[in-house]
Amino acid sequence: MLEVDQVTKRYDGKLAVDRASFNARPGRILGLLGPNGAGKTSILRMVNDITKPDAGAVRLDGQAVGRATQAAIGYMPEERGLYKNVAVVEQLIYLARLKGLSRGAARHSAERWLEALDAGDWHHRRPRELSRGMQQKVQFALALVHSPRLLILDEPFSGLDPINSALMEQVIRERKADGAIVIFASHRMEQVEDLCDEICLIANGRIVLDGDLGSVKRSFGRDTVSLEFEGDAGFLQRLADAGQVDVVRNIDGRAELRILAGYSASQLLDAARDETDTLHQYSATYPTLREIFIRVVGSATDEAHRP
Amino acid sequence: MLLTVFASEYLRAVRTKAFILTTLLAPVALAGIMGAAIAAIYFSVESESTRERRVAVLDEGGRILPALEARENETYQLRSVPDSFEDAKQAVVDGEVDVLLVLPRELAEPGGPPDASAYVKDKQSITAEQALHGFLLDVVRDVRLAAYELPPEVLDTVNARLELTTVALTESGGEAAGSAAGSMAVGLGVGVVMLMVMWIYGALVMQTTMEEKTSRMAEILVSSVRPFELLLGKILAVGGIAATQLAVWLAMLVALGVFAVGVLPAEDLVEMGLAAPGDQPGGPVALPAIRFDVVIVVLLMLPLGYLINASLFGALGAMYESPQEAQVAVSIAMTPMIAAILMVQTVGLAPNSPLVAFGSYFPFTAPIMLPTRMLVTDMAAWQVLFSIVLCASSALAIVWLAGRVFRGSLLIYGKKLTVKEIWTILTVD
Repeated sequence: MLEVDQVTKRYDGKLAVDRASFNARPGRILGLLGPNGAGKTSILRMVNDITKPDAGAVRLDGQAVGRATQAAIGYMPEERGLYKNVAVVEQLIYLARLKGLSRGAARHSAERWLEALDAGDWHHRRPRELSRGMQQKVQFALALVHSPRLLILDEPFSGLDPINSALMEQVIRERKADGAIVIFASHRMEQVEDLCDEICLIANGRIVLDGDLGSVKRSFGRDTVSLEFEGDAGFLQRLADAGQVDVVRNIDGRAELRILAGYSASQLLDAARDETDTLHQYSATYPTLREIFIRVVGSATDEAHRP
Repeated sequence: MLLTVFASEYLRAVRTKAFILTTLLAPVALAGIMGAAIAAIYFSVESESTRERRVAVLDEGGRILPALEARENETYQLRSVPDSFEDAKQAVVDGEVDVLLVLPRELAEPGGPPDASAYVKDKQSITAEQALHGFLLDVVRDVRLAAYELPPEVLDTVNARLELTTVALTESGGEAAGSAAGSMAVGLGVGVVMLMVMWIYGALVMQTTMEEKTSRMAEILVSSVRPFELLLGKILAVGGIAATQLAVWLAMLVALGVFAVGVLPAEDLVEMGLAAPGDQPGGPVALPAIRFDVVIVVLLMLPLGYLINASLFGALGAMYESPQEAQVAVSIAMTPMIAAILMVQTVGLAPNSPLVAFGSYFPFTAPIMLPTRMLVTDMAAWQVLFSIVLCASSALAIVWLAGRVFRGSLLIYGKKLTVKEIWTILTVD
């Protein structure tokens, strides 16, 4: 288990991480969420023992992070890095060697992972000859090559086509099934919802929300209603003006609403039936992760940061 | 870990085409340039010294020309000038004679003004001018002395030539051959080579660090290896690259030397400065005495100097994202070494002055100035040892400090570190 325990980090006197605590468990995928500059990278660097916390501790399987735990971690940073002019397989071997594998084991593993990622014929190609998506896969292999106990993936799917995304997702699920601890940092809420068992939401260096994905959603209640209808949508604005709902989204006869205190789902259903020409769909549900994110982080400006 | 970084960096570099090409071609290019320069000097000196020169002599007193003619020489074809001075000058302009020598009547008189004039069409080379001057001086002196009717033994005494051999005495009473000027030249040569090694290979450390920083490989690397090990592994790998190249080049040089000694006649080697004069043709070529203590000091100080400079360059590579940005800092970092090279002459002139003594102990200049000072003056063993120990301990401290800067700045992008921030990196964990 990875324990991040009351960790604080300052840069130039500015608080980047403020007493952050969370756990990531074997066989589970933890989604690390937060707007840009929230402190995700700072936390991931401390987990990797690239930087040290000013206060608090990070432990992997009970052991304080350090040289020994580094060998057990596979890290795919948000800013991708590969040697431009070094053969792909050599880079993988070098990293595996740095993680403590013998030369033979490193070569074997490098070849196995290139094979597994449908990149078996790129061994001797250099990254500058590869497309962005191909480089991304090499980067992914770089994090996996030593079969790490803890796999940290920061925006692993950015720039990937759906087929390769699916392949990568499959590999992540396999690692999870093998009992690895997986941390998945992303802005892509649908992917996090799809993939993660637990989430940890960071804003301004603090953990503002964490726990099992289902319980987190349940804690927000079934106050979210999605509608699909034909007809005039003007009634939604009237309900909002009356302080009865929050309109989260309203485009072309599809709307997502949040029911505010003093109003009920059945009242909304009645209003929708009366006001629309045809009501195709009405469902009261838990808020989406995206909605939770926006509510908790509490600022529409964060939308601008979405990739 | 360190070994892995070392091996990977080293192998990645030596397998590149660029490495193989520079290793094989750099000496060829250098030898080509130097060979052309030497050949140019050699052949021009050769032609100057062997070409016969027609000298018209306007001897007003009529006593010097016969003496000149009486003296055996292969260079000058002398003739008197029966015509007017103006005609003689015209002959020079027309190229009929190379030199018009005008010798006033008083030149032959003891105590007379020692003035003579030589008219030439084009400016003569320094060697030609000196040769003519020497030739004339000897004859004029003989003519003037002849007025005293001195016994031949006295004349021999006066004409005796002086050969000055400088022998430096060591403290133990031993003798060391070689003049200060020669030692200085050797010191300068060694210093320039050391400077180039430290500069070129130091810059290579900077370049590879910068590549890892800008390609963002750095973050992945430091999540697997201590930044200090990464820096040290890099420095050692580039050191290994330097050693490989220098060894190849040395082998090439030795091969060339063996070839030269075997093929060229000894007098050519003397003339080219590759052997000391005095050797008989066909005899063994005497190389200048090698100071083994200095060789050992160079072999110690070169890696230390490299370590100091490569650490600085490594730290700079971690701080800056392009060589252009790093330029100012690089020139500041190299200033002590360049100062050391500029001071080599001072070492020769005043080897025991406080400034030179300081320079031979100061870790940033000692790698170059200590061997040079040792060549010129006799340093006590403890002094040499002190300088080496000081340099070695400073090198360790600098590597450590550079490691901290390296670690603190490698993952910082898009902003220049201020002196204050660097100080924070150095002092705060």
